[in-house]
This record gives sequence, C-alpha cells and structure tokens, in this order.
Amino acid sequence: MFKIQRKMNHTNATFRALNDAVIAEPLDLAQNQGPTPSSDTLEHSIYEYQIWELNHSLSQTIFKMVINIHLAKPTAKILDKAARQLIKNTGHKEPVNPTMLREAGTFAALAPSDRLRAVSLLEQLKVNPFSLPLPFFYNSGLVLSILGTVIMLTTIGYYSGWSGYGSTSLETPEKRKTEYYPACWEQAGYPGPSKGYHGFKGYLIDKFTE
Amino acid sequence: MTQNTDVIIIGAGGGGSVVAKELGEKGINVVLLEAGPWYGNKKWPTPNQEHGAVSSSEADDLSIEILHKCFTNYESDMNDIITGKLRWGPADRSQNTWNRNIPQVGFAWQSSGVGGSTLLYFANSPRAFQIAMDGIWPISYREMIPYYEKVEAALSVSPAPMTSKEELFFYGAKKAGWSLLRTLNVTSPGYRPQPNAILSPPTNINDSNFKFDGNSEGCTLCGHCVNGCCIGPKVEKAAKRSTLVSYIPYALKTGRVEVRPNTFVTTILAEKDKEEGLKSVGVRFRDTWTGEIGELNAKVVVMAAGTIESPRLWLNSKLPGNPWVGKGLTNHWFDCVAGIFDEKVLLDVIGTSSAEPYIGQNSAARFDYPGLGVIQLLGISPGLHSTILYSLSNDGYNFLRQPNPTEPWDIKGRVVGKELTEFMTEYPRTLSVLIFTDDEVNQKNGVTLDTFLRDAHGRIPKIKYEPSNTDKKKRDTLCVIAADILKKAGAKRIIRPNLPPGLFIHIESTMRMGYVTDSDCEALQVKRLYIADNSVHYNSLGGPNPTLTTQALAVRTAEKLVNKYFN
Repeated sequence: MFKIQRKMNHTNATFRALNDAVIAEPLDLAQNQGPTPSSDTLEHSIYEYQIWELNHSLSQTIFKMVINIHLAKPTAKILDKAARQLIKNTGHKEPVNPTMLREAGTFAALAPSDRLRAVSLLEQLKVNPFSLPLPFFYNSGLVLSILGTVIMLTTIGYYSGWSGYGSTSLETPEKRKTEYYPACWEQAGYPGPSKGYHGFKGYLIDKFTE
Repeated sequence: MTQNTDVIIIGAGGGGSVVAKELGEKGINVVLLEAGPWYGNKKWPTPNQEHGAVSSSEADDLSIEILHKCFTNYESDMNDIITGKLRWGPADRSQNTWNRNIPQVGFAWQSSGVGGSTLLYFANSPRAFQIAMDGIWPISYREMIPYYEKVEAALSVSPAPMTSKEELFFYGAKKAGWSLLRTLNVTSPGYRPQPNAILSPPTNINDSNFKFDGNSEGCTLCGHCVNGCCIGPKVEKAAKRSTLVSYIPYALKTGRVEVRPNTFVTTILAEKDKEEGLKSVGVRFRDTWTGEIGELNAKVVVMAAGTIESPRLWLNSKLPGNPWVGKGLTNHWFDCVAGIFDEKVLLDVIGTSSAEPYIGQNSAARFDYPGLGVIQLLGISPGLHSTILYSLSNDGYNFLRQPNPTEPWDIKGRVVGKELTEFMTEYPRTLSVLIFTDDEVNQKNGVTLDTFLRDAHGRIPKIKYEPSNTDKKKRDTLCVIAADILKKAGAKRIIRPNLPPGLFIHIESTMRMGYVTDSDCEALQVKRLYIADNSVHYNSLGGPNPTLTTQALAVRTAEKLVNKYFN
C-alpha cells in the first residue's frame, strides 16, 4: 500500500489509490536505461496525469463564456461514496486500513481489490444516483462515461510513457518533452518509438484479383 | 447573392478531400473548410501554438520537415484523446477538446485536422461485402467498382507486407482450415493480407546498412501508422496515404482548391428558391483561434464533417425534420481477442522468440467472413495495446468473474494489478486481433442534440448505441473463430476483453442514402447540399473498414454533382 504524502489531498489520495489497484506494486527499475527518477515520484504518479486530464476534458459554454468543469474532485467523491456503500453492505473482502481512512478517505482505505469492487458498484449503477454530487447527480450516463475514461487513462497514461516527460509532465502539452525512457517500456519489452525495422518477411500474395 | 466560390466542402477528412480533388480536376473552384490544424504546411510552422495563416492553396506550401517535427510517434503526444495532436479538438491544445455526450462506457476516436481521422487510421482499404450492398443499398456493388478502382489506384492500395506477427496469424488461420483469399471482392470466408493504402517497403529494407532516417520512400515497418506517419521524402510521398498526404496534395495541384484549417462550420445557410425549393447557399463558420464568425456563399455545399458532426450540423442549422437524420448509427461493435505465446512455440513457427507486435504496419492481415464481419490483426505500442486489451470492457473485472470453462478464452473483462503487470511483460509474445461486427441499422441508435450542453459551436452531439441480439451472436461467433485461429497458431492463453458498445471508431450510417439523401448523395429535403462521409452509408458494409467506400462514393458524388449543377 502506498504511503500518504504530507501534501496529498483527498482527490490525489483517491486517484493514487485507484492507480495502485489497477497498476501493480512499484516496478524493478534496476535495469532501466538512462537517467530515471525514483518509482515513487513518477512511475506511480499517474494519478497526477489522470487528474490533469479529467480537469481538462470537459467545458461548457454558458452565455458565450467557456467554463472549464473540473471533474477530478467530484469523481473522487463518488469513489468514496461507493466505498462507504461497499463497507456498509460488508461487500469488502479485506480489512479497512484505519490510518488511511482517517487521512486519505474511505476509498483509499480499502484494499486494492476492494477498491475495484467499489468501482464496480458505480459501474453496475448500484449506487443511488440521487446521492451523488454534481455533475454526477442523477446522471448515470456521466458516471459510466467518466469511470470508463478514468480506468482507461490509468493504462494509457502508464504504458504510453507519460512518466517519460519527467519534469515537464504536468506542463501543457506543447511544453512537454520526453526526458527519459520510461521503466514501463522496459517492463513491457518495448524499445520505444523507432524510424523503422529490418523486419520484412515478404508478401503472402503479390496482388489482388478482381 | 455573391458567390465566394463554386463549392464549399465541410471537412478535410477521408471524404471531403476526395471530393475537393475530383472537383478541382473538373475545373470547379472549391473552398475546403477544416475544423482542426494543418500539420506539414509552411504557413503553419507551429500549428498547435499559433493561428498562422488563414488558408493555403499551393502544393509548394507543403513541408515534410514541419511534418517530421509535428508527428513525434509518441502515443502520449499524438494519440491521447484529450490532449493529443490527433484528437477531436481545436489546434490550440491549451483549449479543451470538443465535447460529445456519450452516456455509456467508451469514446469516439476521431481526429480533427487536415486529413481528419485518416491521420490516425491504419489505412486499411477493403471494399464493402457485395452481399451487404446488392439488393439492399440504392446502388449496387457493380456500380461502385469503377469508383473503387479509381481510389485504389490513387492510393496505391495493394497487399500489405508481412512481418513476424502476420506470419504467425496466417499460420494459425491456415492451420484452422480457412482458405487464402486473393480477391478484392470477398464472397466467402478466409484470410488475406490487408488491402491497404501504405506504400510498399523499399526492397532493400532488410539490408543491415539500410538507413532509417525517416526520409526514405515507402513503409519502413516502424509501427507508427496510428501515430500519424511521416515517413517519406516529401509530404505527398509519405508512406501511409492519409488524405493529408494524398488527396490534399492532389487537390492543391489542380490550382482550384483553397484549404482553410481552424475553421469550424456551425450552420448550413439555406433559403427557399421558387424553382428548386429549399436549397443550401453557404455556411457560417467560427475561427477556432480568434472566435470570429464569418460566412461564405457557394452554389453547392458538401457536408463531409463525419458521422457525428454532419447530423449535428444539420440539426443545429434547423434544416427540415427527417426521422432518419442522425439515426441508424452503426459502429461494427468492436471486440478484441489476443493470444499469449511461449517463446519456444514462436521460435518453432516464425523463427523468432517474439511476435514483435510493435514491428510492421499496425494491421497488415485480415480474415473476412461475409454475413458475420471481420477479424483483423492488431499490433500497436504498449499504451494503446494495454488500454484496448486490458482496460476497456463491458464485463467488469476478470478477477471478479466466475470462470466459464465452456468459453474458449481464459481471461475476460478488465485485467488489473499483478495480473496486468504479468500480461504486459508478455507484450512481445502477444498476438492481438480486432473484431468488427456486421451490425444492424437500428433507428433507436444515433446522434441527437444534447438538451442542455452547448459549446462554442452550438448544442453538442449526444450519441447512443445499443447492439441487437443478432449483433451479439455474430460477434461472439467471430470471437470464437479468432480464439481458434490463435490457438491453432500455438497460443497458450486467450484473452477477450469484451469491448463496450460505446467505442466509436468505424462510425457509419447516420445520414443514410435513400432516407436522408438520394442515391446521388444529395439531401432529399435541401437541394445543392451533398453528403460525402461515412454517415451516408446505407449500412455498416457487412463489417469491412469504411473509409475506402466513403472515398469511392465521394468520387461518384463529385461526378453526380458536376453533372447536375455545373454542366
């Protein structure tokens, strides 16, 4: 289980907990190529990527004003809501961590597999839609859509090498620069982007007939 | 009314660019309006950072050097659906994407920009299945053949080259008893190389001294088709024939086509004419950098904004009501099946210890089954690989499900935690295929306007798709066939995510020919308004990838349009 960092607020702690449930424990970076940060600072800070993306994915135009709708905080709240319901119904299989409960919230206090049981409650629409905060209040479609996006962002963020942006990872897209070869690519046996390979093995047929 | 040009085309993607080239060659003046940026043009040296020029109409403006700088081949830089360069949103990446309301799990994978979604497509260019057209569409497969042939020639459509993963797939398909297909007109099930629009690799690509500098002509098997592709000595010679590098240069060379990026069309302008009835006369648009509003007039308007935006534009323009505008959406209800192999098996079958999913074109082999749909090979980088295979599902989490020994897959649903780490360490030894279902048109599925949500371009589209029981049976059958092919190839473990129906990639038939348009693709209720994108397809073609059919239809539509209004 991850350690709570002093400055980590509820939203950060909740997303960090979700990431740790989807992506396993810190990886062995020993064989990584080039300069690398520690696993705790970047490889496992995908939650920062998720929060950035969620807070920059939805806007609404009201009286010609474009309003940016920050979705990370309410998303963390509905994860907590589902976690409380899971505990109330004794649907959790592992003990709840009291320290995490006090300092990071209900969702983060669940064991990793139980966190996904809590997510499942939301995905199966088993949490009362009238009990959810805006913009999820009585909006099951948005719950499904955003949770799907959040889980997807975990893997796309992690395995696409977002952490390789290093010190520029939270800049706006135009200012991000790839600074190092991400450990996750080493783990996956992916050599990184290439301009080509000597991999040609011929043609099964030379041309098509009509 | 003063005419600014002969024809306005809305959208420089797979269809609009083709219409522009065809009209330009016939001496018609065209303004092609595109909502997104233009990558690879001297007038926009930093297309995501500043407005740049208003338009370009010169082929000499194209610049491979700028394209090389823009297309970095990093998934996070290019394909992130929220901040990537190939996203559905404005050129300025400090602005949010253009929202769609999709109230279900999934997303719409489209790209704005000159080239549209062909910027990220795999360039697979099969024809529709004849049995999905004949006696069903208002036009026959036979009538489409010369138009298919014209586009196939223009895009150099030919059999895709093999690398390790294709060799493995073909081995499995053959061992499973299926036939090798050699035809463009598929009438029976079997496997074949992709007919794709990617220039063949150089003959000396396997020479150890072949230099991979990005400037050589032909595909270098780098595996970055989905990231845009900028391999080539010139823009118009880039390996993957997105319309950015094919039909747009062809259109510019006619000297009749002006392309204007960063221009979002918000309204079709129409007026009543005593003789013709209601007819389109122009468009209103918004500059995505400055927010300025402008209008252009023309004799004819062609909508090629895509299967979501074309009906949205119709509805936001308050054009006449039609029960089929926006309705009937199909999306091939994708799924994915993958096999994990032991090194020894791979060595025995293909002579290497890895299936090398990142080497070669993203999808260079396929299996077609008229009446059911399509299975096509998928080899992509780890970000998209992990997401499509392990984190998108309609089935919850694999670790929470009750195993079903009667199913041919070992894993179903999302994969997380240590299991995900374990499977991702098997990435080099994983062979994946996509499933495209021959899904049915259903009037309940489609695009409407959201009741409350608006953006700077009007009410946003709300998209709904629910497959039928028949679709489910077809898709399940294709997955069983795919699992069998992978097992016959020697896979030790089979994975099926069961992708959600809300994954919108092959989006078609929301402005169907015969219901919204006539058989020439002119709107039934608004004269001088044509449609040239996937939305005009009568159905989902039986499963084949839709772009080639849209492009062939676009050639035909340009011909019909000229015959009616410019002869």
